Amino acid sequence: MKFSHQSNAICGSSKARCAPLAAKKNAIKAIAAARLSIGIRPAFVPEVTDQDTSTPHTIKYPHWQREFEAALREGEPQSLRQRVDAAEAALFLRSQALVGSAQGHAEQQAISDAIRTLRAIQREKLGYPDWNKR
Amino acid sequence: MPTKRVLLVDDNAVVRSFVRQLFESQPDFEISGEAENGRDAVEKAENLKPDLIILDLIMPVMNGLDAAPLLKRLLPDTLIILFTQQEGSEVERLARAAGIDTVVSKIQAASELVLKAQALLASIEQEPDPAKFRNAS
Repeated sequence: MKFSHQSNAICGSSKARCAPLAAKKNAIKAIAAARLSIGIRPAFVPEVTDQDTSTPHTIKYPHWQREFEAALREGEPQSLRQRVDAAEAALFLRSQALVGSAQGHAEQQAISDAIRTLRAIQREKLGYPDWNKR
Repeated sequence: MPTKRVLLVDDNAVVRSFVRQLFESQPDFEISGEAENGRDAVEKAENLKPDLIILDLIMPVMNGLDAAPLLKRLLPDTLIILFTQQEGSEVERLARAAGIDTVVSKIQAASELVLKAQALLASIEQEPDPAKFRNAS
């Protein structure tokens, strides 16, 4: 109720002033569609795996941590690009979902760290050109 | 305002799909094509002749900073927005040197990308055309 009241207050007088709100709603729809399109598992579904589970650890960031760790673990060069792409997509979609959230600061920092790690993998293992060498 | 044609350049299919949906939800934009890296973008841009290019920075084969000068040489009137997870003044400086019109962070709301694109295109349309002045004088 409070939200709709605020929305009216912001958008009531001018269609042009509604543009940021409409764009944000479209972004939320796009996140949902993009997550579905790459089959990112909903956070509440536990991962079932036949790999080594002898060192259980907590998943602090369920929206992207599994994909990120899978990229770090990947030893097969052919699969590494796919793992990195999946992790990058999950990180991007999560950072979009966190926009405007007052509680996501620690996770945003963790996302920035994870992105830096992926960049190093892309540069050193996948041979991406280094943008900063100029 | 006539519909603006957009070329999306990003190696990540999910990011391309996300940005495509954002722009397609706006009546003033149409996605004319997608490219997976800078070289692919240069090859496609010549035929597609987009009004706007959304360009990723870090891509295989050719990155955004290497592609931008080639794209600007091919299509000097086309606007380029660097849409990247890299942040900082160094990226901004290199982007400007490469002919990129503005930088939008992927960490910020992607809706900012559409708003910046609209603002950039509107500012260009308001600018007087130097060629018209030359013809008039």
